Amino acid sequence: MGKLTILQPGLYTSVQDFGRVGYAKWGISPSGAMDQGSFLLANHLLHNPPDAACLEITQTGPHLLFSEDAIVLFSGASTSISINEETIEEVNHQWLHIKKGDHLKVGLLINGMRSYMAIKGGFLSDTIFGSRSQSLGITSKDRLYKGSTLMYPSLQETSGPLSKVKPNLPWIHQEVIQVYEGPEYASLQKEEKKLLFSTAFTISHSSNRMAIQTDQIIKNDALQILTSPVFPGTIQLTPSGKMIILMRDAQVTGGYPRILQIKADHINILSQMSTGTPFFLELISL
Amino acid sequence: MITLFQTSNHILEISWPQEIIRSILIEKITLQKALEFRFKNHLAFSVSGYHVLTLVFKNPIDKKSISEEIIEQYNHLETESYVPNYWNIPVYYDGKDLEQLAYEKKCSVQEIISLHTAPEYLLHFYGFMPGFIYLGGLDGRLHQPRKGNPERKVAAGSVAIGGTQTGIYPLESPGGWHIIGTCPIKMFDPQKSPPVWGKEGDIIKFYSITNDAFIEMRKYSSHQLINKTFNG
Repeated sequence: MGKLTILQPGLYTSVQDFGRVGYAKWGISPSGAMDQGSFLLANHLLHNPPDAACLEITQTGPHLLFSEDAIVLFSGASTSISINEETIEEVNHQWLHIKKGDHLKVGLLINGMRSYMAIKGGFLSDTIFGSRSQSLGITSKDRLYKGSTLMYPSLQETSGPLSKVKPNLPWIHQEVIQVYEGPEYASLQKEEKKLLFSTAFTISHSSNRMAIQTDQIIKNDALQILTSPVFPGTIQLTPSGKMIILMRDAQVTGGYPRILQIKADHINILSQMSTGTPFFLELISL
Repeated sequence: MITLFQTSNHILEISWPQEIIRSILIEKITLQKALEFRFKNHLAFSVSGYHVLTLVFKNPIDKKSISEEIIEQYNHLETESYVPNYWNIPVYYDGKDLEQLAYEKKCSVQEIISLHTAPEYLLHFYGFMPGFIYLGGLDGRLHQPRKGNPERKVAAGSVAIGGTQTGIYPLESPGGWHIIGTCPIKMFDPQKSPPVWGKEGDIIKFYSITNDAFIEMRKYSSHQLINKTFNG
């Protein structure tokens, strides 16, 4: 088996797969890759099982040391890397052949917030409740830190890439996030609803894997509720007008009105939008 | 008594009137059991709140036919199938906010402890964080609005009161509830399956222990330690 050592963790790097589905009954969040589309694509292009654990890299990437040969592949936000100080621009979707002892540095991500580094065979950290996704209180650490190590399978004889998929950034020209009415949507006033769909929202700096907050507020009188189930993609509206868009690590229940629910694949789009980029909400019916 | 709302292609929510009462909890638990059996291969999982049961399906649903099934099951609920477990939870009442709470309630610390240990609490559901139980039944005299400025760190095991609720922090976290004691029993152990000792609908009673007993129980910190025997 190979061992990956994290020499520098970058801004926020963690092991992620599809997440823990079905454990909300014990208060366990689903977690998993923020941009599931890019995560699945990375594994697909490496001929990995779809749920193989990857690294989720945020904004600035890590410095990694490989103890054995490996093949890795990047998907998601654009990135350039260096292997033993030799820069490779625009690596997305390429099979990268890593040799024993190589240093891989991932630079600043551009055209998106998150990048996924898949490894042939997938990372082999502990599976807890069906997933290797790192999560506070569930896995031993909530993310990768300086000195963290991860095991991966030894490389078998393997044929090269068959499919050629051009690196794509589906979020780049996307200005609209599609949403369904949430359970408490009906309690909003007509003017409040109008404001929801005419405001250009921007993502605030306080966003993370638990929730994305917007800079804009929507003053409202929405019906207050008892603590109720929430999901990634649920948009809560607080009495003070804060819009809270719940993401993968969000709590499974919440006490704020749930006014909208984001269409599943648009959660992936939103997770790649940078702070300050404006977007509009569009109401769609089921 | 129930209304249905479809949140997305896969998510359907069943709501009762907004109240925290035993009869709703029992209907919710028995309906959940009936639907998990009825929709066995189609249901991915379900999640609960106080008055809400949300079903998440594996494939996009047809609201009309699913709704008819749900109403049918609701009209034939077997509430006798609800059999709660009873739990005695030890608490060492020496929380950092206990004296302040007694002062504000104009009573003694011992009276706070008596009010907190008297009721049989209902475990309504798990949420907020892994292993966090939402309990119903806190004595009205102990209701206390959350702190305006939450603590940055509330220790794991802290027993606290916030608003109209009481509960135990399973993990260290920021928190705005008033800390009245500590429980030596682990609320959540990810190495075990299930990782929690309780289930929705169980009945819980707190009892006061000494510091010595707390230290002793802490050594084991296992949920097997909870004494199940009190006369329910």
